[in-house]
Amino acid sequence: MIRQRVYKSRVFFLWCFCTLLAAMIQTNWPNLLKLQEVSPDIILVVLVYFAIAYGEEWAMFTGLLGGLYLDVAVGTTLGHYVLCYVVMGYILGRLSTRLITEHAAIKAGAVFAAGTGWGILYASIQYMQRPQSGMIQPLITNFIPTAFYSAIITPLVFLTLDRIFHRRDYMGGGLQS
Amino acid sequence: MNPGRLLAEYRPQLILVVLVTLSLFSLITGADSSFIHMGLSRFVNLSAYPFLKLRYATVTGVESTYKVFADPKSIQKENEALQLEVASLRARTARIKELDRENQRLRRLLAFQQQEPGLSLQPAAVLENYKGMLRIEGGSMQGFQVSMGVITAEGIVGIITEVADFTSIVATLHHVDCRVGAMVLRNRLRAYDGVVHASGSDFNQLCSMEYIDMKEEVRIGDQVVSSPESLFPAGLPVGKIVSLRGGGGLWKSASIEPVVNPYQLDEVLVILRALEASEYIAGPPASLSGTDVPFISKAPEMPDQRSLQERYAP
Repeated sequence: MIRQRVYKSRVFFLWCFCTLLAAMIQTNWPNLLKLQEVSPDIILVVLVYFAIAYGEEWAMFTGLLGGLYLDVAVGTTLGHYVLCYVVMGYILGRLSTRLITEHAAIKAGAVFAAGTGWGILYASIQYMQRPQSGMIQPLITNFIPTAFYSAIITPLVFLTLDRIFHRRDYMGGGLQS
Repeated sequence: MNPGRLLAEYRPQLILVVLVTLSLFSLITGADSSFIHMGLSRFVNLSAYPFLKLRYATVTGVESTYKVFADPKSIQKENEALQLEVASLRARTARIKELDRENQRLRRLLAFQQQEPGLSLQPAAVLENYKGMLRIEGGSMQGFQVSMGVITAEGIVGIITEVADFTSIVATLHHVDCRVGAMVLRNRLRAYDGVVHASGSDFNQLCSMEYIDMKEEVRIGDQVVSSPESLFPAGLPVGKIVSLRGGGGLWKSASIEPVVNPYQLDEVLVILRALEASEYIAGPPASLSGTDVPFISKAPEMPDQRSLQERYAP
């Protein structure tokens, strides 16, 4: 029991650390991974990882934490990022239970789908707040390339997170969170 | 169905509903995230401050230590230059303090001059002092004469005894040549000879008021001021009675501590002329004013009470 509790708190702190690290990289060093004016959405990749690995609750809380960080850092209305991430976290979490394989391509596809969905949600909210900004153009020029780029870096991020969380043990029937 | 079980079963949906509702509410109300940003900034700044200080101290310490070992000659040169600079700055600081004190003294003298419009005063710097005598800057060229009184804002200093062209000698209340007509302020009591004079001893800086009638009441602590018969205007402080001596006969004498210590003076005021009360109102005679500028009386204008015939008669 004690071992399980220690394991849980360790996983919790690691989850906090990884989510905040992803948010910090995304906001403080946006040029670090920028290619052709497109940066990957690392928080979304982390969110998809937690959705697949730990379910929709972890994914939603990842979305809450990362979204809050982005809302505060970017200075948007509170809840803009949070709403998009939480909804995508729930959907991905529900979908992950139906995944029959954890092939890298499936994960990358999930990230691309999540990125596109996130972009549609974000653009919709933005369009409702400021109709003059348009919805289709940012979706095509910004959100879909971002989703694609996020999908490309997915294996790297997932591998790193697997190492951090020792997920192979967990998937192999080890201690459960 | 058990509500707890229901809650556990639909927990993810419940969390989703709560979070989405809160987000929507925030979006609809347009809640700005700046207050969180400000709070976080303050928190981060406060948390980071000790680490920044520590980093600064560490970097500075390492750099200075490295410099000591890497380039000791430049450190030595820098040290010598700094020592010179410190010495120079100390001298400048002392000079500034001295100027500040001088400024305060001159302000006090100026204020005293303005308080005493009935006295024609000439400031003079003290060049040297020796055995109760002062040599002051200013002599006959400045209009100084023997027997002129010398004062400060605190009280009487002494009397001019010698005058050269550009300097003068002042006998202070510590010198036997100085005698000042004085009285006790409380009861206007004068001594039989009416003067206060120095003890004549270099080691005794008290003055004496001799020949006080045994019947007169004099107390220790009484203020002694110049009397109307003296060379000074009446009422200028001379000193304070510190002890009384009874000779066993008809007289007693009092020791007086002068209010002015001549050995601590840098500037004094020479009384060129003390205007009488009538002169103060009407203005001094033209022969004594020393200038061609007409004296403007400070007295209020009196109404012209002449008759019309007198006023306009040819």
